Amino acid sequence: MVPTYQILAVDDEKFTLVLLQSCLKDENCTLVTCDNALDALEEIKKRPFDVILLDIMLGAIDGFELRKLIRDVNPKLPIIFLTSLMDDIDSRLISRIADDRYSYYLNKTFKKQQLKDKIEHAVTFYREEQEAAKFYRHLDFELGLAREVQRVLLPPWCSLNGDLLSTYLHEPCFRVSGDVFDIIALEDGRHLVFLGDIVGHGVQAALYMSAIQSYLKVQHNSSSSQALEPHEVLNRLGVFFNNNLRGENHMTCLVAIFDFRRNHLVFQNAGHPGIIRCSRREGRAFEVDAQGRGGFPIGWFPKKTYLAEDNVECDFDDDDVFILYTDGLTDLQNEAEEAVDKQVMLDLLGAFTEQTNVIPTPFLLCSALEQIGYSFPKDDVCVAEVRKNPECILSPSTGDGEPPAVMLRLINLSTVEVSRCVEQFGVFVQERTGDDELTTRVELLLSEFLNNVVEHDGETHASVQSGILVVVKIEPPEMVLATILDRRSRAVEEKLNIPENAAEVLEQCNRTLTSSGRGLAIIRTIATSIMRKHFKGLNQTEFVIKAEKPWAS
Amino acid sequence: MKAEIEKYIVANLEIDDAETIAMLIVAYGEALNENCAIIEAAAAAGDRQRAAAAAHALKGASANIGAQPFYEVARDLEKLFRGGGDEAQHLLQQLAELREQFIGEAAH
Repeated sequence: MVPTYQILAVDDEKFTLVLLQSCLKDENCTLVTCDNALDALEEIKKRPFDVILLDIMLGAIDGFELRKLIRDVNPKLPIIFLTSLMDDIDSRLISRIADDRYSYYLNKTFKKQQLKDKIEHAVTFYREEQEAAKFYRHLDFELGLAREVQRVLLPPWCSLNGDLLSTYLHEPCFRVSGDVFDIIALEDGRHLVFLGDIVGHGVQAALYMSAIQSYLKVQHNSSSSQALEPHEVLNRLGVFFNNNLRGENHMTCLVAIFDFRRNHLVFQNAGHPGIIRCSRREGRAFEVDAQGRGGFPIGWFPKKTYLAEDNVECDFDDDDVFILYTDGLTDLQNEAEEAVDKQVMLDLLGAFTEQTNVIPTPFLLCSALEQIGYSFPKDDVCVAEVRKNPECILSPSTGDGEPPAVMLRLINLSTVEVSRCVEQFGVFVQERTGDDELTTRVELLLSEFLNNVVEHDGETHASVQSGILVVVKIEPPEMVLATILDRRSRAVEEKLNIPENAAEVLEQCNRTLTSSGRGLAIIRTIATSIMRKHFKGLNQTEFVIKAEKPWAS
Repeated sequence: MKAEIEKYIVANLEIDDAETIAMLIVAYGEALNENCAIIEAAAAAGDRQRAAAAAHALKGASANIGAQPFYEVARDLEKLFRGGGDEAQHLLQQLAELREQFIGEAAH
């Protein structure tokens, strides 16, 4: 034995201990002996051992009982049972020894070489497992760190930037993802939306993803984006991919530039799934016709360039919603290992167009797919929606000039931000309804709920995923709808004990009233109804606040 | 018998210094005496469980050192005390004779 082993021998027959000492005295090991279970347990608690040589018939506490006690201290410490009980060929004994993955057996008629081999085998296996466990812990830590870096590089789950509203869901297949997503506001008022999918999974794909995500940010900051077109973005990325990333991988991607002032979209597809358009006017969802253009993924043909004539252009309606996704979405499988049928996905999205409230479509879609059984990812999944900010949509029934009946704010978790936001919503409700009492109630409700979130959740929302989207909609002649979308974890929710339905709310309010008299109790007295929904890590809370009397519309 | 044990220690336990071998034979002799005394007393008192435990201990020590005759008698005794047979006298006699022989050889 080359390495130094720390060995503990336990046997109530002192002769066996003497024999083991004689046998191992010239070996590179330290042998500690005990003639009873309790002393042995003390020794194990005192210092680390590599292996235990243990008799089965030990007296008051036998070898198996001692093993159980040892396992409480160290679940994997190798134990070699040294016994002559096997003479009776007792299969129950063998199976009791084999019950434990780290237990071995050696007959007392052992030869020295057999003893050494057994110790060597047990300790090597133990040490390798320890090393592997250490390695996996380290890997796990690094993957966690990599995931955090990815989160920082990705935009917030919701973007509300001028006339654009976007949300997206980014779910790695395993810890880190090779999917790239970004939204960049161009200097000329348009919005560049980028979605890419690096070939492969795990760390290598994640590293490429991080490099490209960083490159997009640098490009955004360093070069002019006036009149930028999708093919130019693809060509720049192609050069970066081939020169800086050695061109050893490739990436499918989609570059789309939205102009919400003209309701115009121009995009080019580099081997990526197409864009889905959800049209409320047509009551359906369908893939935007790419007219056979677009083509090869970035990195396939280093010398080929993407051309302007391959850009696809289309106009759209104010309330259209565009869905961009990576193929991880259609690769989701059910228990029968069937992938998502694209038509099923389009039908689901078509049904969503009938919803009138602002809905985070990617979360709703993935949640719906999960509900019908597609809950086994085979690839990283990224789904994004892009739509015109509802605030910028003028009501078709009242015509031009009518101020929008909806207000949206994306807020960070700080009491200052909450106060500012609540004040703005107050002004909005007052202007649209002229009802001071209703305005105060809306302000109070938002203030209570949002401050509650800040108070309980501030620390857990340090990342860029932390924004809360607040939507307040005026529904004449007497209702105000307030919808709050946040990405608090369910664990936090459970800690807060936020109920799922009105009856639970009432019950909890009664309890809260007796203790504090604030928070949910106030919310309950203000809101006519409270509805909570959860979609894949996104929480949607809807409050209906009714005026005392209808206001003049 | 002592010569066979010494041979066993050298061949199987790879212990070749005379001092250690002698020490092991003395230690085995002590274990033998101790366990034989327990077996005889427990058998006489009808305490079969204690007699079986001592026979088991002797069996293990004998297996350790390659004392094959002791190992076989101890094994049979353990089996007998655990199983409920009552032919112990013959085996106890055999054990006493072997022990006498061993002590005689060990003294030289």
